[in-house]
Amino acid sequence: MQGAPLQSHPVGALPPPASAALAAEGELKALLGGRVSHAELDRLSYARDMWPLALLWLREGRIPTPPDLIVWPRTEAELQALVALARARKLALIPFGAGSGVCGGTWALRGGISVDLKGFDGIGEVDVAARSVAVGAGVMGETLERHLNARGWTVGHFPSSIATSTVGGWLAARGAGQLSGRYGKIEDMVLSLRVVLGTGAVVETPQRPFLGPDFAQLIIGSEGTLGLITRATLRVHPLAAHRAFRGHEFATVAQGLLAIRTLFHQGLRPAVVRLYDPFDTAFVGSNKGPVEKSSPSERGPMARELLPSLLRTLAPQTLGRPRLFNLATSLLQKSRLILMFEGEEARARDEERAARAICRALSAKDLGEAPGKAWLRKRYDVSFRMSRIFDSGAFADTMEVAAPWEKVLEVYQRVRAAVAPHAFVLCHFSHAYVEGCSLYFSFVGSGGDDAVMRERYAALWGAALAAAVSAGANVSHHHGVGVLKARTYQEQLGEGVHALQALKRSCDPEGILNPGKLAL
Amino acid sequence: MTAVSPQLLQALRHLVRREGDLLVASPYEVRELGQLLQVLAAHRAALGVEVTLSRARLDGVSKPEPQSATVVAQAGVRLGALEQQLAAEGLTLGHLSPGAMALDVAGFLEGPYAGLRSVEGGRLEPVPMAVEAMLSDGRLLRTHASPRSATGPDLMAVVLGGGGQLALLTAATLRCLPRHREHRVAAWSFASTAQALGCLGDALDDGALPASVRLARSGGATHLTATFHGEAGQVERDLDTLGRRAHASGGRGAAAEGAESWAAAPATAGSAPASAAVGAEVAPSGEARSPAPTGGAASSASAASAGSQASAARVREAGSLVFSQTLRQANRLLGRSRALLSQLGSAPTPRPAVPIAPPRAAAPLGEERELRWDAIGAAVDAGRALTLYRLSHASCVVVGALDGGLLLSSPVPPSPLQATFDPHAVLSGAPSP
Repeated sequence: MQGAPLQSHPVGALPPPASAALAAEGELKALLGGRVSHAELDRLSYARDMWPLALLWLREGRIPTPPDLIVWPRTEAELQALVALARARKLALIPFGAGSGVCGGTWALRGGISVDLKGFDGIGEVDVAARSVAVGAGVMGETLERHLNARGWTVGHFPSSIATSTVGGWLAARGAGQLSGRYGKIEDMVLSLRVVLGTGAVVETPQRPFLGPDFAQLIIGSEGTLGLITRATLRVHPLAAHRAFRGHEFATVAQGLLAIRTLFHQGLRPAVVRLYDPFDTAFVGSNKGPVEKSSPSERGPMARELLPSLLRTLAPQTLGRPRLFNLATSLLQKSRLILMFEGEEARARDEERAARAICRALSAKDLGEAPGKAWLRKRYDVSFRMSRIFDSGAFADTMEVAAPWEKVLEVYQRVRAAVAPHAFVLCHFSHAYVEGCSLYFSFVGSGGDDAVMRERYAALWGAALAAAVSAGANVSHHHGVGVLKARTYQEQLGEGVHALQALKRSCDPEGILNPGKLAL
Repeated sequence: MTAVSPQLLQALRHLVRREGDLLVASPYEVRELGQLLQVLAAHRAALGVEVTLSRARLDGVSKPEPQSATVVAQAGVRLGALEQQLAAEGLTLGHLSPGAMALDVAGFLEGPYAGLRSVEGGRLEPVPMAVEAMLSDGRLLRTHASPRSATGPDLMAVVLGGGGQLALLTAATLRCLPRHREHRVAAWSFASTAQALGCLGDALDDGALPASVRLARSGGATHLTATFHGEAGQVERDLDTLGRRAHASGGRGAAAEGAESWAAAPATAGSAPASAAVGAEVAPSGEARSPAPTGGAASSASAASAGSQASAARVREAGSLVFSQTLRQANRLLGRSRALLSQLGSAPTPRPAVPIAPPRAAAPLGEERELRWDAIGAAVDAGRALTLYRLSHASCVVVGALDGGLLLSSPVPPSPLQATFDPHAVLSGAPSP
């Protein structure tokens, strides 16, 4: 997307594995007990993640550059041997979890070896006194939660990709879950991690108390460019005894944002905070009282019923001119907030009551428990149904950025204005903190043919990121940087890129780890 | 200080002044710091070797942002003074320990405190939302000021706890909290220390956020005194939570005996740790709190008695705490428990017996240490009276006569990242805060 043009290849005619990689295959098989492949099916499977750009390409029968080889190591010793081999033979290593990223972070831009880490799948005993558990980087999110829930614990990390993402992937991309208001993002949950660096060294970061920098915070978010994460010690919490839901409807987005800020400034920590902008809210049926539908951008949205029919109806008139449609939606005002408090029952109820008082003081309409409960039931739908939008001949993507409170509205307005010429824009505000929140934009667009659509897709991203950054947002709250946002990320880093490069030289002096990501 | 060549002295002439044997650089702006690093690099000299750095003149403070509750403060700003400035704006830095409040921004962020604060759920988070720091080549690292990011490694981490060896902090955007005036103290007694700590752990899980907790063992019971500051509703919820958890853990409400001395007022004013025991005056609460809403007959009785004995007391800030009383009491405990030192979980190195004498201002009593819960429990059972600050499931900052854990005035050891961050070793000689 940004930087060098990305290559795509016909699915039926992949480029052959690079000879340098094939030459290493025998040695790799010896090192890894044969767990090495250059089979076409494997290379196809590991060529892409869930970046919608690849979905656009797939519709045309094309796919990003595949890795030359895929390996499935199971021990740190095997990883160390793998790193030594890659350094000696100048081969790229691309760490791979479950492939649910949306920024191209696991793409093999120039070939290389995809390293599937799902073999690191151990889950340790819960240390009750320390409220922690050691987990292999390859453990799938849902597996981990089921395991812990059965024992009365939770990590509290619930990304919508939970069924198709690994602990290592959460860490590598600095992910967030839907209950971040109470449990924080993944970087707030890590007590320590183990990583095999690009130097071959195995490092286990210290747990408090310790002296010196917290190396874990330098590895979290490094997207595989510094090391291969093998294990993490995560904070666990007792499984919540109670959940208290409430929906509120505000006259405007600004009022809703004020309510969230007031909640956090008064010490309330709802696990879930989601404020939907008017376009999102309108589709929920604000005049029908509590309804059983979740907001469109939550629902795999737009996918099944609303948007396809909308697009079909409006297509000839407006699809090429999303600006008109966005203008129409700007007439809508009402904004819906979903809150969920959880934990010990009496306290969860107390906090919900206190939140209700704050919302009432801001003239919100009380929508009762139903909207929150409906959201909870359908909270994972979105990740699985995105492709239906593509089936309907359109494209969709999401952009999540964060900003301090004084800049949030400006970011919202500028991004909407910048994207309006290219696509329909929806937004919800979630992942709130005392000092700000994230903005989650959904874009839905269409175009005459695939070429026009690709062009429009690229223009949309350029405009959206530039608008967000100019208004004071960062480039990502929890999806990461990957390839998609690499250039904007580097621009925002400014001279700080030299610190990033120093870190890279320390951890991966030959640059074998996930080259081309994070602008490294 | 090593000998300084005439050439270096000449190059530094506008950048340093002589203080006794030392050449002290005290830049008044960030650019001057950059010039200093360039000169040192050109002469293969280093901070902490040829030149001592003071960032005291980097003391600017921005107008706080009321919406995000953040303020930008330069490296040399004293936290105590900043807290007073913030108070006028209705903000606070939150529950920091007295030792932390005595530091400047650079010392708090770069030193062993690593700029951490406790947040709800028994977690820790950095007080800074963003930092500006100078790399060894004079370039500036400015991390983005957003509440959370998924934008590569958190480069702030090269500054936090880094001892100024990888980058030198010049300014930080600090997360503040709205300031509220509600202060409450609640006291509970438990048959065992394990029960007291269990109660605390559960309360942290539930979201309670005590400003400080006093733990002491006497008369066959472990006494827990928790202090809460904050928004009235939040303090109320926290007291309820602690009450329920204490009740469930077999705790009995106690008159806040000794709370006068132990309940530390909010850590204001940049006083040194030893003299930072800001006074607090405890008056019986007007409204007796009912700590346990449910329970069997026996436990209800204890709950009722707890309420009537004003287990929670409203504390007003005052300036008259009898510090010497604290010292005497702690000294007594120190003497009593010295023999039990070896039982401490964190196995202190043996050392010769120290005569028990009234400590001077910088005596170990005022020193803050970071301890894990097992070490805290062992120390309490060994008879120590401890005050816990910056509580988290991982560790707490502890004041009390202790040898274990991590002394929070320890020098920061060299980092393996120095070779790439500071190839000319300009920063690596920097004295740790």
